Amino acid sequence: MKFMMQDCIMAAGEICTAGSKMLRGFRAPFSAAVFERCESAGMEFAGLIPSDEFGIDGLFDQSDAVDASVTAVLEDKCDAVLCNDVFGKLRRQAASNGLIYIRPVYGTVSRFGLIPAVSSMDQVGVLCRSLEDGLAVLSAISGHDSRDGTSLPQEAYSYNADNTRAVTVGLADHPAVTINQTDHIKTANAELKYFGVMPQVLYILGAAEISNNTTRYDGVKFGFRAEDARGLEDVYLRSRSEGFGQDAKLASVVGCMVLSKEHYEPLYHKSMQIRRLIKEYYDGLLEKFDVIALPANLGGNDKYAQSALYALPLLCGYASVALPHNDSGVQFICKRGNENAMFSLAREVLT
Amino acid sequence: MKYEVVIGLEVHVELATESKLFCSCGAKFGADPNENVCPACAGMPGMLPVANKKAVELGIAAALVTNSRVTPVITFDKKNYFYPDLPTGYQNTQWLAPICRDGYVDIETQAGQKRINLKQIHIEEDAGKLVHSHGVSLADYNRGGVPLVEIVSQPDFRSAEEVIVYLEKLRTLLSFAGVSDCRMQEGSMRCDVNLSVREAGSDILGTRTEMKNMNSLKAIVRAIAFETERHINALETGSEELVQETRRWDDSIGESFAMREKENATDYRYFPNPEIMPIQISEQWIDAVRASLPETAHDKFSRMTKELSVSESDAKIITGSKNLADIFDALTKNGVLAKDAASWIVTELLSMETQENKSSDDIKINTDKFAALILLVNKKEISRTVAKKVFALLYAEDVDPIDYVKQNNLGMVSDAALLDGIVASVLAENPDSVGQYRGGNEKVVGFLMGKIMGKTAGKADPGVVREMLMNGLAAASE
Ligand SMILES: [Zn+2]
Repeated sequence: MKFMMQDCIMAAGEICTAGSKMLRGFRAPFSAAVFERCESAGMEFAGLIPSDEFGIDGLFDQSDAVDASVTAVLEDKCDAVLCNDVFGKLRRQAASNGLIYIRPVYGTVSRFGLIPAVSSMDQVGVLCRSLEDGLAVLSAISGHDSRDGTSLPQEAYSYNADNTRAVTVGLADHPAVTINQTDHIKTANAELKYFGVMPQVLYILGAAEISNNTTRYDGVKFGFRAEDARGLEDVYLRSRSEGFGQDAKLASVVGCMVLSKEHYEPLYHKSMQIRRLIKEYYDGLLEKFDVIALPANLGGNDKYAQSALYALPLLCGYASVALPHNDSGVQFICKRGNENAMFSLAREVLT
Repeated sequence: MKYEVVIGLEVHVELATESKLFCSCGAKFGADPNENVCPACAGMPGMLPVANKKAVELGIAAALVTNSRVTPVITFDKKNYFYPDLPTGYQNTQWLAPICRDGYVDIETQAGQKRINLKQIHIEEDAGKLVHSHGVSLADYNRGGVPLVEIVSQPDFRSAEEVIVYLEKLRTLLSFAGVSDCRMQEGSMRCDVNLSVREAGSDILGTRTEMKNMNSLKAIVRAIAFETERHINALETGSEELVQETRRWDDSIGESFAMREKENATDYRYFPNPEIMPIQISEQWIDAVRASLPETAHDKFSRMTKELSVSESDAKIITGSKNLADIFDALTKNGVLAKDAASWIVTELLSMETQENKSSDDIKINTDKFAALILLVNKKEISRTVAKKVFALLYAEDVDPIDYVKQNNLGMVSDAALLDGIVASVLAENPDSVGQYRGGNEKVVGFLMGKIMGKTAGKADPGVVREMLMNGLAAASE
């Protein structure tokens, strides 16, 4: 099996820029945990794929250009790409291009060696053509890593789509989501709350963390430095002005604002409280349902509203899988422990 | 008008861990530039912080010795600011849930006992250091990521004396608990002084200024005096308007200076670090740390004076410094009697300290050899005079006392025939002294003893010599 990685995931000795000029020429000093695990599972590394800058290109207005990782799988350059699906673009594009994107539960896959964007949401996932390939890769890369303080203690995971027990599915009230009831698939409409506020919470917290995760790129120690910068302040201002793209700058500005003394309480802290509220609600709902089903696309031009579709696993750390289904594609979401039920449902839908 | 100075302190103390707060790099002082640096503490992307358990335990120990309330679940936060000594552009610190709160330290000044209340203690990482030379700035990240605690007091101090006594007390508490070596010269203990002045008796605080990174007690005393004076002067004459600001103390000039306005306007944009999970501190964990705490200076003093018959003055000196106390323990462990160990430390070792103008914390000696030397004296294998000479060599050049005594033939001379001859010749050479003795002047005994010891190069057993001399003088007087 051949795997590739977005260039926000490090392979020792490879130039790894996370798609940013700010990291121009940065050679990874070590390998990501997921890279080591794929190699030791006998998979063949077929190279890095340019990613959007820190995976956040189109932060507030996702572009429709097909992502290079999606193209790589479509063009058969590899069987799977390890990615960081920061704001949901890869889930959306996978589902609408006949591919599958698997996002594991936060903490089950080590983030050691992943160039961070939004630390509380970043999670290496698998973009693939076949569900079985994807699950083989996911099983290989999952498991505790002492180098990641957020890594869960379980040593290893075995993922498959062979579940035969009954699965209860909570459906979004949307015509694009049509799951047929079978002997062991039971469906019901689920009350999906808070979707209106999710984009705001996602972008406020996301921007705050991006602004902080990009402060290390200052032109002083590694990566890009503006050529004729003179003096410390000039090095900072010129290097960061010339080195970052539009979305990284936007995220920095917004992030700094929401963390400032003046806005911390009404924006950042409030968003954290809402995030907790959302998690409490959906933890409860995912007791009732094994899996929640959402469309993977809404169509139309309101990309901001659409980002609500991808927010739930990001804000709550749930697993999700996006796959082709009807016109819009479908996205399943589950809690830790129900992954194999979710993958079995995905297998059912794909067949 | 009478004025009162109100001072609060933020004391930074580097924790005595083997490794840094969030990576496995060594945390020891004195390595070559950037020797103790890995991708994590150099701020490379892709590295994640893994909290050092030992640092948390030392934080708990700091809480215990300052009577503080340990926080059941602690978290870490990010403090953002751009400066090249900070490779990630943020410092990991504790803002929302520090290791402990509401402690106190009791101090004893001329005026009596006083309680200094603590607001909180938090754990954070140190920054690196910049070296400016020949128009370039070089960054050394050895200290970057080294764990420290910041001990934040309430504004309870009313004089420089209280500040100094408190800092000394804190140093004793923390160094005996193994929390830190608290060496101000090496920067492992430093202090921010927050100061304001108000009319005596008023309960409204005046405008506060802060002097950061003070690392000498003398400088702190001078800085407090200067700043108090400046505030009073401003209040009385209106010569300048006092503003809340950070000031830099220049000890060579003896004045404080306002920092640039920009440095005072920093918004640190604190927020919880999502990469570090909250850490639960159970009662059992606290109990385990309490049980593992070494003897406090106070307990050691009691034990030395009550059980080991060390004099109070010696015990006070030795328990005033963790280093001396460690040397004391090492000597007694090597079989030296407590009383002897104490007196050798206080008389001989500390005279070296005075000669070299060192602090008790800096004095270093090989305690195995030191113990061997004291035991040689006790076993009467060398005289006290010889021992002093050998001690100086042991201290300066680390000579082995047993080998040295053997090689230089300095063993105690108690050969009666040999000593008899020397005593007789000294008596014969000093008939005047013998005459004075006969006339009732006993002081000449010391003089004659000196002569005899001189002839034996200090190697004679003074007890034996004295006896022979007295016998000789008695015979001459008959
Ligand atoms: Zn390190």
